[in-house]
Amino acid sequence: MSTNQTSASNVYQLIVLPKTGTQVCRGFPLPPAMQGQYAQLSQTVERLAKAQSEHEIVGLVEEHAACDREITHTPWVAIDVEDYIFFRLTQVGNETQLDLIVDTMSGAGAMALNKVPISLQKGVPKLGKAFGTNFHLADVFVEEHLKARNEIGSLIVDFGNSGTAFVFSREGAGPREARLIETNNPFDPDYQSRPEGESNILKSNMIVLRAGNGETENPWIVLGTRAEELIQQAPLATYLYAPKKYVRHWPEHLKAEEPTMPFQGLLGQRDRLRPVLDFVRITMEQMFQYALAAITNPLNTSHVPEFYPQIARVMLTYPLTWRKVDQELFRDLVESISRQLFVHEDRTKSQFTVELICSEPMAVAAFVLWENFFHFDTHNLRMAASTLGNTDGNDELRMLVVDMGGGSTDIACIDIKWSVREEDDSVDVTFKMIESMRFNRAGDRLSHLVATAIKQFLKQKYSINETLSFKQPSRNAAFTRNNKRKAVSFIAELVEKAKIALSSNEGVWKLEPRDEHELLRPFEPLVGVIGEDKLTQGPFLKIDHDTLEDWVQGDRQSLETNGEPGFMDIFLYLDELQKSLKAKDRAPHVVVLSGRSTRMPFIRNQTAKHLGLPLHRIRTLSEILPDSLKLHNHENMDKLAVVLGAQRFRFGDHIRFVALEDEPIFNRFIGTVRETPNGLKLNRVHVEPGDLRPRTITVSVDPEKAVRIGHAFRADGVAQVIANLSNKSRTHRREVKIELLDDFSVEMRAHDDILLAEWVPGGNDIIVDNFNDTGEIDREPEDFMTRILTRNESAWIQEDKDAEDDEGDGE
Amino acid sequence: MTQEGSTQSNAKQDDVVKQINEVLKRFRSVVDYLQKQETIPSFRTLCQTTPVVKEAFDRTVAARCNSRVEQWCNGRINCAIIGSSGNGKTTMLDEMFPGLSNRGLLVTDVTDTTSQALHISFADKPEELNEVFVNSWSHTQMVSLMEDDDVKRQNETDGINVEFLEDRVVIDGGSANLRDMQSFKFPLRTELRPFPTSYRVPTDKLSDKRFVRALTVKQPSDQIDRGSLVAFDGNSYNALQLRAVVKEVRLKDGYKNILRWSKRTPQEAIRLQFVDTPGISVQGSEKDEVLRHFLGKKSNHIALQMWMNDELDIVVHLVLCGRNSDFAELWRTLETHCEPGQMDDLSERLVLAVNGMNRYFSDKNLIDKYESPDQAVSGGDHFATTIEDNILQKMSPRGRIKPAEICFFDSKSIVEADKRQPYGDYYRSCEATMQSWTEPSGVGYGTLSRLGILEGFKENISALVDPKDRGQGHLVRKLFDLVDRRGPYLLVKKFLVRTKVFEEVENLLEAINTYYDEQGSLNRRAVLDALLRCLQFIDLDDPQSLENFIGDKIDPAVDRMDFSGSDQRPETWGAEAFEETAKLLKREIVAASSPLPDIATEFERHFDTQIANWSSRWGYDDLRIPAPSVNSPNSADLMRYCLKLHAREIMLRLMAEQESTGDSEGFEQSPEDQKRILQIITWLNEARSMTKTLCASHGVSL
Repeated sequence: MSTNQTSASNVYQLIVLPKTGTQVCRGFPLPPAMQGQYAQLSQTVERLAKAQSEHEIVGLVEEHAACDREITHTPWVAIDVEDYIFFRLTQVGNETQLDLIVDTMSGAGAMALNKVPISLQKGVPKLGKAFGTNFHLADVFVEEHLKARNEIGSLIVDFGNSGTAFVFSREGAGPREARLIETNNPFDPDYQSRPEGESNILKSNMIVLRAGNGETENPWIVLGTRAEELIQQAPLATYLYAPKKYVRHWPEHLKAEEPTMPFQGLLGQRDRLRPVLDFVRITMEQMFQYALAAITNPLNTSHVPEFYPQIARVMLTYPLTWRKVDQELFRDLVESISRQLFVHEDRTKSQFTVELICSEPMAVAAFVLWENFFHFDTHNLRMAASTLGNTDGNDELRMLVVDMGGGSTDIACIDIKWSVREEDDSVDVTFKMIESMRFNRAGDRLSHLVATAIKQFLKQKYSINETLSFKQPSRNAAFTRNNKRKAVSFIAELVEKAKIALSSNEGVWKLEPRDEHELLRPFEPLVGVIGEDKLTQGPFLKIDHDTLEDWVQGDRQSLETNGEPGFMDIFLYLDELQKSLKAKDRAPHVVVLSGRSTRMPFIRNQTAKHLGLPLHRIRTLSEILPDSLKLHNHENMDKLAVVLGAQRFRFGDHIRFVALEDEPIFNRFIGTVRETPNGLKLNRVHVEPGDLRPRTITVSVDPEKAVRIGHAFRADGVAQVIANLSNKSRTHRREVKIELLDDFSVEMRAHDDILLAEWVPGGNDIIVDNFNDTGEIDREPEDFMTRILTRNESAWIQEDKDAEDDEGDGE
Repeated sequence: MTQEGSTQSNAKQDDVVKQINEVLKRFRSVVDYLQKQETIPSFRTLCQTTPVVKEAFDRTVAARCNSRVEQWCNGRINCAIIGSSGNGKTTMLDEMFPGLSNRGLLVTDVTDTTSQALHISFADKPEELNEVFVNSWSHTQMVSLMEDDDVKRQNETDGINVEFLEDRVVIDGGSANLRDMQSFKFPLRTELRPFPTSYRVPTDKLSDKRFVRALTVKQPSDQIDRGSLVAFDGNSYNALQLRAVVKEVRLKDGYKNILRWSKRTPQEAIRLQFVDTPGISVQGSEKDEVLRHFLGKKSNHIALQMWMNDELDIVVHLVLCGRNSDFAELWRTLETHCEPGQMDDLSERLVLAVNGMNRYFSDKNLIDKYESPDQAVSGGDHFATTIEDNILQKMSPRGRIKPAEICFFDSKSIVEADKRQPYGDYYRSCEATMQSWTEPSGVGYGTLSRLGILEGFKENISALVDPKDRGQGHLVRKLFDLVDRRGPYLLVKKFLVRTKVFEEVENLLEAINTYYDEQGSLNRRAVLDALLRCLQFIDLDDPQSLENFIGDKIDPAVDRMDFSGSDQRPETWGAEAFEETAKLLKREIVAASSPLPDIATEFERHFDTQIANWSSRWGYDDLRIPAPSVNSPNSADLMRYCLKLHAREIMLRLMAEQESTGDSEGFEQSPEDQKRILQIITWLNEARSMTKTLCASHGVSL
């Protein structure tokens, strides 16, 4: 350590910057003069900790701080509980060190030029005096931002339901020099055991750790896997699973329908219910803080800020079919957070912008194309294109991106053309969206199916019939909401394990006795303590890939689901899409599957089958290039492709992308919708593909009746609902003019009797398959999934544990 | 360029023109011959039964219909002058073509001009000077312009109704809600009819100033002539109708100044034609009455049409010194409507013409840039500001573009009116300052060097100072130099590449070679039989079947492929690897299906023909991926990746052929039929080979 990092009193200084989240600094050294005094110092600290035991916040840090618990250490101590600066002593080998936590958002750490001594005398004067020693261990200095090394650049964000990724692209940096931000969770004692990839992709789940005292105080939020674990310990704490699905503009007349939540921390709470969107904001704020903390202090060991990012531009990707209002809401939300959080010098302040850079599937397409063109080099683009399925030798490609996230599946067919500039061999690439669709069915739906299977298994083996819904009271009062929360969280954890196993080559997941034991613990008020003998007896839960595929094939829109699509409808949609594109001579050359759920092999098989393409034209993101050319984080590319693609879309160097405007036409038949035994169909067609948009149509609605508006690829094809018009008049039939803006958006002037409810593409509600938030497993409609699952129940609830495993041995 | 040099280039270009026409001749003959399908029954049957042949033929027919293919290449190069109104374009043309002004055909005393293109070409004979033709929009073009989103919306907003009839478009402002309707001079209901053919302006009308002004200027309402100006094919047109329907005026000039400045012979001068395009972003005006929205978009549509029809070979972008270029707006429109690639070689045929050199000596901000070196350092010198920042950075929505030439010029009439002294005197007083910018220590030297125009600028100064040249002559000389240098390139690219003639020759040849042998004998049935027998082990309904076959038989062999020594064959190693993989695949297919020997032979012949096509089409023949070596460690992996995928693609293509069975009864072929196909194959091969040679000689990439 250089001498300029020691303070005048010859202790070392930890220099932090305000508004860079909760800073953790592990292994901060004490000056040489204090070495060898661990025993004496630790006694002082322990007395101090005892004196602070009434302060719950210190206990919170003790329990949750992301510091090693295995090494010799003292309890945590607050410099002052109002200052939000905490420390503990550790001994590593012969060296005595400090672990420090500084909240730079509130308290002393938020005030520039503040110098806070870590002094036992100052911290507990009486104790210090009692020992007759002034233990000045270190200083925390809060530096001004502009004194640190500042780097101007852009922050690119892919905010996802399951995970969020950030890239910081320094001004002038090439596409491959951009830096993926590896975030650290300051409140995760198990930080060392988390998988490496989790730091690149921040799990978006959040739980409120400390609500804080006032409305303006920065709450402490825990994100990621740790949040999932904590909700099992504190079921009533505010917990948000897959927050992006709550980004939705609620117009005044629909405000009453907007979901709300209480603000309840593991420690502390605030009054009133708040729109869930407020917690989305808090989640995003926290993510941005994590990002800043990771840039300034990447490994939680930096004594000085590595650098401060002068973020001149925040670039956001967004789901394909978010309406303009949702996109703007999201942009405004991020802009407001950014302006509050980022400290700008004058130049970047005036230039600062938040841009919606491109939709997520377009970013994926840009990533795929850029990586291919880059490795093939612009002299060999014919070869690059032919490996992507265009074997005609011309400069175009139609790429269908199926981006299956947690909450939704975006499908986009992009018409890509390019030309090489002869003077410098650079390439101009144009993207034009020729088809798009969003389904609110995706990975969460598969989770929901597996969760239903687990619930059904519990019913079969243990006769557990209680609802897990958090809202509904249990028949057995001892089975409390806490039990339900724990049960649902553990089921969610098992589902994740199951999905990983089902995506593997083996393609089988078994509920192991140890997990079964854990699973049953929240149900003990219902079934008592289950002995090991019962656990090792049948029946057993064993799901294989084919079973899951069978379930998916039964999960489709019908009268029973009131027109709500199931997972299988994604593939049925692809079938329709394929016919429509083929008729227009625009069939895709290649399909790119992105999103973690697409790792399931059946997704590829079904996609190939319904698009009429061979398997090698359906690629996951890990298959777009040979292994040796893949990026460092390629195993997580199905998530990172969006953020990296957005970065390349904007800063592609010699490969320049331009998104062309969509043609101002409708791509679908649009009209009123009726139900048929084969699902929803169009009744009266008002708009045909190729008609110019927007278009005003007149719809009649009978008294106290409703009319649904929907779209379909074919006049007699399966329809998707996009809006509902209901007439509240008891006596008068009403005729209203509605404006069809595009294939998905409808507008109507306010009307006294007619209420227009817009349906988000892919379903009537953006919040679906969210059993983790509600405990409502298989209730839309009640037991719909169970009926699908029980058709082949013997395939997955087996009496004999090793029935299939033994088959081969027996022969 | 010296006289001798330009003569050589002339001869070279004549030769290129001849060869282009030879290719076009063969292409046209092939298509015309094949279209008379009764003369080649085997091809007719093939088209009916084999989608891949039909598609290839349909595309070829579409390329044959391109107007560029319909005509012969005459070697003339169109030089389009593009710039916004108010940048001095008309004044420049007036001084470049004084003959036109003297004949009253250029009107320069007003700014509110009508939107049409002006084609100026060289009059070889004096009597040609009276040949003035007016061309109108076609009905389809008028409808397309009326259907433009903005025009449509604005018309709807203002209550202007538009009706499309079979032969005309009717615009009815009877129910319009325009504020200034009381002052309208023309009827509220106007019919727009396209001219049935080109309208040759009668000689007497050429001296009719009223007519010429109505054609070129939007006259103020108090001077407007409401009566009929032209009667053509039984229809009469008033000034407003002419404004709307006229797309272009074609006229000729003696090129007096052009010949003098360029020191070219008339035979050379004839090669360069000038096209004055309507100003970028010219808006409609109230004078356009009920057609204001339609006319507001006309300029951009004219430029778009010309670009799409490939009528603009060299683009002179004219910008007044100190102003910003708004070319990007046109660029965006073009990019949305045109095929990609239309703009890709623009910089090679773009000349930036900066008008108003005197502004460097009269604009205080610009003077500060070179008189105060500190300011030049901090904010860029006067050239960095006017050329790089204002023009080159703003021309393209994708960022900076580098033109082939940058020329500075000025206008005699403007300078003398502004400076109140003779042009020559004024510029002589500026000459030393301009010279100082070309010295290494001078302000602006760095920018001129960076732009690559330092030497050209020195030459440009002398031209600017000469009152008979004014830099306009310098611009013309540069244009001729560009024609000498890039003319053959532009012509080959325009007539053989952008028309898709070459692409379709290759496509058709591939399709024909697939089903006929080298002697023109049809072997479609034999091919189908062979494919059916040899691919029977693949289950077409099971995608995994293909995957398993390649995964088991080909992928491991590709993984074992040894590329050592391939760095000794940097240009062929990829094609060799592909050939090796194809051979292996062929062997495995035959082994898996065990066909009779004659079936196997037919299959192998067909397979080899296709592989030769695909090797070229999939980029192996002109591969530029470095051969695997210590310096290129990933090339081997990339090649293996391609080979594995292409093995699957080969199977896919063969399976697709196998599926398109059709009627095999019709595959009988007469000797006459065979002879004709052989002729077709010969023409196609010649066209391909000639085009490849032309492209290789003139640097056109295929």
